[in-house]
Amino acid sequence: MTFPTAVLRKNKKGLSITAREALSGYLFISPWLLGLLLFAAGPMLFSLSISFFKWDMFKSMTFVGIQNYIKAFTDDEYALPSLLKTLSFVLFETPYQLVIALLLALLLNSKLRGTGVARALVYLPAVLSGAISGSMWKFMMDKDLGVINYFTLTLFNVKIPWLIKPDMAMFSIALTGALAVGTSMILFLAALQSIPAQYYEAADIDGASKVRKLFKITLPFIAPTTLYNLIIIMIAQFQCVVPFMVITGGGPVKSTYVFAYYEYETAFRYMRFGQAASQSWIILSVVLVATMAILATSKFWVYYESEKD
Amino acid sequence: MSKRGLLFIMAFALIFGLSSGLGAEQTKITFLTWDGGQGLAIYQKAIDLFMTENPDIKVETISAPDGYDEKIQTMTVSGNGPDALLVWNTPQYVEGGLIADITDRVKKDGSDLGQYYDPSVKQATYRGRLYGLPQGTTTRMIYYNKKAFDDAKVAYPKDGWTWADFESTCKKLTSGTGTDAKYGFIVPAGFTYQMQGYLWSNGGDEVSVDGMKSTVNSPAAVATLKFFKRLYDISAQSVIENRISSPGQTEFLSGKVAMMDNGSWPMMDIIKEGVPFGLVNIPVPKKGDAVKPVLHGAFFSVGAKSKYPEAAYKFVKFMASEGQKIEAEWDIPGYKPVVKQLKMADGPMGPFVKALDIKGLDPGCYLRNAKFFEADAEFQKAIQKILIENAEPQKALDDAVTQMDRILAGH
Repeated sequence: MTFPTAVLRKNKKGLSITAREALSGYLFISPWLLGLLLFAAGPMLFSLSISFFKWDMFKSMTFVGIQNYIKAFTDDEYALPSLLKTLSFVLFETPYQLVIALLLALLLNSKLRGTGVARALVYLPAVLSGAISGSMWKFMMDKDLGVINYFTLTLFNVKIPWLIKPDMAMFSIALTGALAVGTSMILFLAALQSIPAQYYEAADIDGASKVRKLFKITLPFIAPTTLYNLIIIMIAQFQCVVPFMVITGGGPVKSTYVFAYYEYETAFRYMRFGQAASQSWIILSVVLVATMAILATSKFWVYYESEKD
Repeated sequence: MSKRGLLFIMAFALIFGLSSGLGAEQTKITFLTWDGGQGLAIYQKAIDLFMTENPDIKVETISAPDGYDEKIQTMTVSGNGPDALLVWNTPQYVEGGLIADITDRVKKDGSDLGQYYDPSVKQATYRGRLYGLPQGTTTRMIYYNKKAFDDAKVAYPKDGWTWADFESTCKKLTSGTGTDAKYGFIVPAGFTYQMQGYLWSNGGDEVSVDGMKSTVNSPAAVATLKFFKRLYDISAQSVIENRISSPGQTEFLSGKVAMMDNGSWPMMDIIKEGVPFGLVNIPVPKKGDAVKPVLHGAFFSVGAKSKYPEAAYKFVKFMASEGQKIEAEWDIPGYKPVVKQLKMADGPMGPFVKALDIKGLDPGCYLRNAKFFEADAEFQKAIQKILIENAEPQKALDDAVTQMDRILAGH
């Protein structure tokens, strides 16, 4: 058999086959590359540069060097406290959402009647806008008129100050994340369904218990998805701002004033875009470190089928 | 038909077409409003009337009920700033270069500003220059549920009632436990704007007249906070402002609370729900003190970057005067002739209309410093500490003053 002569023949412009392949490859991804440059890399570069300025978006723009960064750590009433609030929120919320998503996926993966409907129902809150679900939570958690307190009052005669007490508000908002797991749940479900049945069959023959099968077959198999979900959920919690805006407005007594909300207010309420840009670079580096840390641990618990040893 | 004849007709048609096209040449302006839904529908009627009367101007309404400030910021930065818009936060919009100074325009066309309520005009004024014409305005008053008062056999409150009267009334209206609990009043913790009326009535203030110093640790302010703390402990509690209905509205409509402090906006809902209600001014510290309620208001402005400032100004002027006949459903027009023409003083809005005649109404602390709201957030924090965490008022307010002064000075 002979290969097409094109392999040997240089084309008119003198490009080798590799160069041509590379060129067409770049051409194929060019829409995405353009998008990246215009909508991600460009704005990021812009944000980085304005983080060295004092800028109110409309008029004056003064170069201040790294002042914005220094101020965040030395002369800022809210930067560090709100960063700590964000960290504690992430530490609680990430495992919380991950476990709920996994448990729901395990439940909905079983061959019970009505799982199709249940899957849709669990996913449903994901299509609600954060502002709407936030308002609903706010009503439900209202101390005097909320439906949750209606039940606690009727059943146990206690009224829980969900959003009123500063030491409780953060926890209440964290709880609302339980309904935000639709997308992670779907990913888990897909991973669960890709596990070949023969592993379970073999385990059954060996008489393995359900728990053992979960830890020895299921979890190792879906580990790449778990890693993915872990990182995605974690980043989303760092960015999380809507529930804080809608449900508590950062209060009471600034107890739910997380970093993302502080950043938002710095920019759009107090018109300090330079400072806000520096804040977003600070949070970006925190997210980067956290993600790298997770990726570094992943080699101990994530197994990919492609890495055969 | 001859070729020549055809040519003639074509030329005629062309010229006619062109000229008629020119005649219908419209100036297209954009109007940005924070109203949506029902409120917007009412607005649109006024806008349509304007377009009928001014066929040469076409108004495109842009509604941004959520994220209004962000919307105008992004529109302006991208070079598509609105030609006309609703505004209430005058200092921020002026400092941001978002709205046009119309002082000279108003002087030139001889408009009589005396036809508008004076505090409303002041709300559109910043550093002596005028930036818009009033839309609607309202003071805050106490709504009371007549049925709740009748049930508890409590006499209806009258203007001039005192803080002590108010407190004892609240206690008398409190009843039941568990899910049946009913309260006299609702206190949204940290609603600083609402608190200003009480502060002023007690001779206090949130910031100094020049806007450079916070005064929330004055004896008058501390006494006001102590009064609010006592109220908070016996009232229904709500965390913060609700984006959907004004604070306390839901609780009042449901019958959970017998009184609420609010502006004129919830009135239509209350009437629709059939709740029998009365209105009274906020209580004063002691008998004989003058009541100084806080004022809410908004105005129509011409966008600073408008390409058609003439048309936009014409629209603003219409909306602030004639257009108010249609718009006057939610609050009281800042334009007195319409208030008179619609006989609003005799309608359900009457008490609010009368309240606008109170002498020396302050247009608002926020007009005194462009950084007011950033400082105000510190006052809010202190109030929440006092009400929710039982912090010592003087100490919490002293701390707030330190923070507020730094912000007001533009640290």
